[in-house]
Amino acid sequence: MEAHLQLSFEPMWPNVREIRQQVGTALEACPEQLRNAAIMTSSELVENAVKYGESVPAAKTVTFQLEVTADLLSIRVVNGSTNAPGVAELQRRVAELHGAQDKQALYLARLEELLIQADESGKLGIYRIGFEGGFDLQLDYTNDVVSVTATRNPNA
Amino acid sequence: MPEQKWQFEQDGLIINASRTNTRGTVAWCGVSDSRTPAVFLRPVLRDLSEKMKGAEVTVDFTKLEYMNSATVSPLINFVKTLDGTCTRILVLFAQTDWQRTHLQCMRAIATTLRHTQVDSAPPS
Repeated sequence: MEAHLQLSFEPMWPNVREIRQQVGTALEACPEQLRNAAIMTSSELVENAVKYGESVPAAKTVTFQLEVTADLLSIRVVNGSTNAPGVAELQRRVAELHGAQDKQALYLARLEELLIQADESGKLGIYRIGFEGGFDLQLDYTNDVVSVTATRNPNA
Repeated sequence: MPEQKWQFEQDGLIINASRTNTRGTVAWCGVSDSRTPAVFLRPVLRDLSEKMKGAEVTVDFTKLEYMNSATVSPLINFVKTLDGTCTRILVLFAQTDWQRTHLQCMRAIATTLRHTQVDSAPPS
Protein backbone atom coordinates (compact mmCIF):
# COMPACT_ATOMS: atom_id res chain seq x y z
CA MET A 1 0.00 0.00 0.00
CA GLU A 2 1.06 3.61 -0.42
CA ALA A 3 0.13 6.65 1.66
CA HIS A 4 1.22 10.25 1.98
CA LEU A 5 0.41 12.87 4.56
CA GLN A 6 1.98 16.30 5.04
CA LEU A 7 0.88 18.84 7.63
CA SER A 8 2.18 22.09 9.08
CA PHE A 9 0.87 23.36 12.39
CA GLU A 10 1.54 25.59 15.36
CA PRO A 11 3.31 23.88 18.27
CA MET A 12 0.14 23.44 20.33
CA TRP A 13 -0.67 20.33 22.38
CA PRO A 14 -4.10 19.47 20.86
CA ASN A 15 -2.30 18.92 17.54
CA VAL A 16 -0.67 15.77 18.98
CA ARG A 17 -4.03 14.02 19.23
CA GLU A 18 -5.02 15.36 15.81
CA ILE A 19 -1.86 13.87 14.26
CA ARG A 20 -2.63 10.45 15.75
CA GLN A 21 -6.11 10.56 14.25
CA GLN A 22 -4.85 11.64 10.83
CA VAL A 23 -2.11 8.99 10.74
CA GLY A 24 -4.63 6.34 11.80
CA THR A 25 -6.93 7.39 8.96
CA ALA A 26 -4.10 7.51 6.39
CA LEU A 27 -3.00 3.99 7.35
CA GLU A 28 -6.46 2.44 7.66
CA ALA A 29 -5.58 -0.20 5.05
CA CYS A 30 -2.37 -1.23 6.87
CA PRO A 31 -2.08 -4.11 9.32
CA GLU A 32 -2.98 -3.08 12.87
CA GLN A 33 0.53 -3.64 14.23
CA LEU A 34 2.08 -1.33 11.66
CA ARG A 35 -0.64 1.30 12.05
CA ASN A 36 -0.25 1.36 15.84
CA ALA A 37 3.54 1.61 15.56
CA ALA A 38 3.24 4.55 13.16
CA ILE A 39 0.62 6.29 15.32
CA MET A 40 2.74 5.94 18.46
CA THR A 41 5.93 7.07 16.68
CA SER A 42 4.20 10.08 15.10
CA SER A 43 2.72 11.03 18.45
CA GLU A 44 5.99 10.80 20.37
CA LEU A 45 7.91 12.80 17.75
CA VAL A 46 5.24 15.49 17.54
CA GLU A 47 5.09 15.68 21.35
CA ASN A 48 8.81 16.43 21.37
CA ALA A 49 8.42 19.06 18.65
CA VAL A 50 5.57 20.75 20.50
CA LYS A 51 7.31 20.60 23.89
CA TYR A 52 10.74 21.76 22.83
CA GLY A 53 10.26 23.44 19.47
CA GLU A 54 10.10 27.15 18.74
CA SER A 55 9.53 29.34 15.75
CA VAL A 56 12.74 30.22 13.89
CA PRO A 57 13.16 31.92 10.50
CA ALA A 58 13.81 28.62 8.70
CA ALA A 59 10.99 26.74 10.48
CA LYS A 60 8.17 28.96 11.65
CA THR A 61 5.84 26.03 12.37
CA VAL A 62 6.12 22.29 12.97
CA THR A 63 6.07 20.17 9.83
CA PHE A 64 4.94 16.55 9.82
CA GLN A 65 5.37 14.18 6.91
CA LEU A 66 4.34 10.54 6.52
CA GLU A 67 5.31 8.50 3.47
CA VAL A 68 4.53 4.86 2.89
CA THR A 69 5.77 2.90 -0.10
CA ALA A 70 5.95 -0.84 -0.70
CA ASP A 71 9.28 -1.12 1.11
CA LEU A 72 9.61 1.94 3.36
CA LEU A 73 7.54 3.73 6.00
CA SER A 74 8.99 7.14 6.81
CA ILE A 75 7.86 9.72 9.38
CA ARG A 76 9.61 13.09 9.50
CA VAL A 77 8.99 15.87 12.01
CA VAL A 78 10.70 19.23 11.58
CA ASN A 79 10.75 22.07 14.11
CA GLY A 80 12.86 25.04 15.05
CA SER A 81 15.09 25.12 18.12
CA THR A 82 17.82 27.44 19.35
CA ASN A 83 18.47 25.17 22.35
CA ALA A 84 21.67 23.57 21.08
CA PRO A 85 22.40 21.63 24.35
CA GLY A 86 18.85 20.23 24.33
CA VAL A 87 19.18 19.14 20.71
CA ALA A 88 22.60 17.60 21.50
CA GLU A 89 20.98 15.50 24.24
CA LEU A 90 18.29 14.38 21.80
CA GLN A 91 20.98 13.59 19.22
CA ARG A 92 22.83 11.49 21.81
CA ARG A 93 19.73 9.38 22.48
CA VAL A 94 18.99 9.00 18.76
CA ALA A 95 22.57 7.84 18.14
CA GLU A 96 22.35 5.45 21.10
CA LEU A 97 19.18 3.93 19.66
CA HIS A 98 20.65 3.78 16.15
CA GLY A 99 23.68 1.85 17.39
CA ALA A 100 21.83 -0.44 19.79
CA GLN A 101 21.81 -4.17 19.07
CA ASP A 102 19.15 -4.75 21.74
CA LYS A 103 16.55 -1.96 21.70
CA GLN A 104 14.46 -3.64 24.38
CA ALA A 105 17.42 -3.57 26.77
CA LEU A 106 17.79 0.17 26.18
CA TYR A 107 14.12 0.74 26.93
CA LEU A 108 14.17 -1.47 30.02
CA ALA A 109 17.28 0.25 31.37
CA ARG A 110 15.46 3.58 31.19
CA LEU A 111 12.39 2.06 32.91
CA GLU A 112 14.61 0.85 35.73
CA GLU A 113 16.03 4.37 36.11
CA LEU A 114 12.49 5.73 36.32
CA LEU A 115 11.62 3.16 38.99
CA ILE A 116 14.55 4.28 41.12
CA GLN A 117 13.93 7.99 40.57
CA ALA A 118 10.15 8.15 40.78
CA ASP A 119 9.97 11.94 40.38
CA GLU A 120 11.70 11.79 37.01
CA SER A 121 9.77 11.36 33.82
CA GLY A 122 10.43 11.55 30.15
CA LYS A 123 13.37 10.68 27.93
CA LEU A 124 11.66 7.40 27.25
CA GLY A 125 9.89 8.23 23.98
CA ILE A 126 12.95 7.87 21.73
CA TYR A 127 13.68 4.39 23.09
CA ARG A 128 10.00 3.47 22.84
CA ILE A 129 10.02 4.37 19.14
CA GLY A 130 12.90 1.94 18.60
CA PHE A 131 11.66 -0.89 20.75
CA GLU A 132 7.87 -0.79 20.54
CA GLY A 133 7.63 0.85 17.13
CA GLY A 134 10.50 -0.96 15.42
CA PHE A 135 11.74 2.27 13.83
CA ASP A 136 15.25 3.52 13.29
CA LEU A 137 15.84 7.24 13.86
CA GLN A 138 18.05 9.87 12.30
CA LEU A 139 18.43 13.50 13.32
CA ASP A 140 19.71 16.50 11.43
CA TYR A 141 20.29 19.92 13.05
CA THR A 142 21.10 22.74 10.66
CA ASN A 143 20.35 26.49 10.90
CA ASP A 144 18.35 26.03 14.13
CA VAL A 145 16.11 23.47 12.43
CA VAL A 146 15.73 20.00 13.94
CA SER A 147 14.63 17.28 11.54
CA VAL A 148 13.96 13.84 13.01
CA THR A 149 13.21 10.99 10.61
CA ALA A 150 11.87 7.60 11.66
CA THR A 151 12.06 4.77 9.14
CA ARG A 152 11.18 1.08 9.07
CA ASN A 153 10.35 -1.66 6.67
CA PRO A 154 6.55 -1.85 6.55
CA ASN A 155 6.74 -5.58 5.89
CA ALA A 156 8.93 -6.41 8.91
CA MET B 1 -16.62 -3.51 54.61
CA PRO B 2 -19.19 -2.62 51.90
CA GLU B 3 -17.72 -2.03 48.48
CA GLN B 4 -16.42 1.48 47.99
CA LYS B 5 -16.00 2.99 44.53
CA TRP B 6 -14.09 5.94 43.14
CA GLN B 7 -13.67 7.49 39.71
CA PHE B 8 -11.01 9.91 38.50
CA GLU B 9 -11.18 11.50 35.07
CA GLN B 10 -9.12 13.88 32.98
CA ASP B 11 -9.21 14.65 29.27
CA GLY B 12 -10.07 11.19 27.98
CA LEU B 13 -8.52 9.12 30.77
CA ILE B 14 -10.81 7.47 33.32
CA ILE B 15 -9.54 5.53 36.32
CA ASN B 16 -12.21 3.45 38.07
CA ALA B 17 -11.31 1.96 41.42
CA SER B 18 -13.14 -0.14 43.98
CA ARG B 19 -12.32 -1.76 47.29
CA THR B 20 -13.91 -4.36 49.53
CA ASN B 21 -12.37 -5.67 52.72
CA THR B 22 -9.77 -7.86 51.02
CA ARG B 23 -9.87 -7.01 47.33
CA GLY B 24 -9.35 -3.94 45.20
CA THR B 25 -9.39 -3.09 41.52
CA VAL B 26 -7.95 -0.15 39.62
CA ALA B 27 -9.05 -0.06 35.98
CA TRP B 28 -7.62 2.39 33.46
CA CYS B 29 -9.80 3.31 30.46
CA GLY B 30 -9.38 5.61 27.46
CA VAL B 31 -6.39 7.71 26.54
CA SER B 32 -3.56 9.18 28.60
CA ASP B 33 -1.85 11.72 26.37
CA SER B 34 -1.64 14.95 28.30
CA ARG B 35 1.52 17.05 28.21
CA THR B 36 2.35 16.30 31.85
CA PRO B 37 0.29 13.27 32.90
CA ALA B 38 2.16 13.05 36.21
CA VAL B 39 0.49 16.26 37.40
CA PHE B 40 -2.88 14.50 37.33
CA LEU B 41 -1.73 10.94 37.98
CA ARG B 42 0.70 11.27 40.88
CA PRO B 43 -1.80 12.63 43.48
CA VAL B 44 -4.56 10.31 42.22
CA LEU B 45 -2.34 7.24 42.38
CA ARG B 46 -0.93 8.25 45.76
CA ASP B 47 -4.50 8.47 47.04
CA LEU B 48 -5.39 5.10 45.51
CA SER B 49 -2.29 3.49 46.99
CA GLU B 50 -3.55 4.53 50.43
CA LYS B 51 -7.06 3.26 49.69
CA MET B 52 -5.74 -0.13 48.52
CA LYS B 53 -3.39 -0.80 51.46
CA GLY B 54 -3.53 -4.41 52.65
CA ALA B 55 -5.73 -5.66 49.79
CA GLU B 56 -5.23 -8.03 46.88
CA VAL B 57 -5.33 -5.60 43.99
CA THR B 58 -5.94 -6.04 40.28
CA VAL B 59 -4.58 -3.23 38.13
CA ASP B 60 -6.34 -3.52 34.80
CA PHE B 61 -4.94 -1.76 31.72
CA THR B 62 -6.95 -3.75 29.17
CA LYS B 63 -9.28 -0.83 28.34
CA LEU B 64 -6.44 1.66 27.99
CA GLU B 65 -6.47 2.64 24.32
CA TYR B 66 -3.30 4.73 24.18
CA MET B 67 -0.73 6.23 26.52
CA ASN B 68 2.21 8.46 25.82
CA SER B 69 5.65 7.69 27.16
CA ALA B 70 5.28 10.36 29.86
CA THR B 71 2.54 8.20 31.41
CA VAL B 72 4.87 5.24 31.90
CA SER B 73 6.82 6.57 34.89
CA PRO B 74 3.79 7.31 37.13
CA LEU B 75 2.25 4.00 36.02
CA ILE B 76 5.18 1.76 36.92
CA ASN B 77 5.82 3.64 40.15
CA PHE B 78 2.17 3.13 41.13
CA VAL B 79 2.61 -0.64 40.73
CA LYS B 80 5.86 -0.47 42.70
CA THR B 81 4.13 1.43 45.54
CA LEU B 82 1.26 -1.07 45.63
CA ASP B 83 3.78 -3.90 45.74
CA GLY B 84 5.12 -2.48 48.98
CA THR B 85 1.75 -2.07 50.71
CA CYS B 86 -0.61 -4.71 49.30
CA THR B 87 -0.71 -8.47 49.77
CA ARG B 88 -0.83 -9.36 46.09
CA ILE B 89 -0.91 -7.38 42.84
CA LEU B 90 -2.17 -8.68 39.51
CA VAL B 91 -1.40 -6.42 36.55
CA LEU B 92 -3.49 -7.15 33.48
CA PHE B 93 -2.80 -6.11 29.89
CA ALA B 94 -4.83 -6.83 26.77
CA GLN B 95 -3.56 -9.10 24.02
CA THR B 96 -3.40 -6.26 21.51
CA ASP B 97 0.03 -5.73 20.03
CA TRP B 98 0.94 -2.41 21.68
CA GLN B 99 -0.13 -3.64 25.11
CA ARG B 100 1.89 -6.85 24.64
CA THR B 101 5.05 -4.75 24.56
CA HIS B 102 4.16 -3.12 27.87
CA LEU B 103 3.25 -6.50 29.31
CA GLN B 104 6.74 -7.77 28.45
CA CYS B 105 8.36 -4.75 30.08
CA MET B 106 6.19 -4.88 33.17
CA ARG B 107 7.01 -8.59 33.52
CA ALA B 108 10.70 -7.78 33.38
CA ILE B 109 10.28 -5.10 36.04
CA ALA B 110 8.08 -7.35 38.19
CA THR B 111 11.00 -9.72 38.72
CA THR B 112 12.27 -7.11 41.19
CA LEU B 113 8.88 -6.86 42.94
CA ARG B 114 7.79 -9.34 45.60
CA HIS B 115 4.00 -9.42 45.28
CA THR B 116 3.35 -8.55 41.65
CA GLN B 117 2.24 -10.84 38.86
CA VAL B 118 1.75 -9.61 35.29
CA ASP B 119 -0.62 -11.35 32.92
CA SER B 120 -2.61 -10.90 29.74
CA ALA B 121 -6.37 -10.89 29.97
CA PRO B 122 -8.35 -13.18 27.68
CA PRO B 123 -9.92 -11.31 24.73
CA SER B 124 -13.29 -9.84 25.73
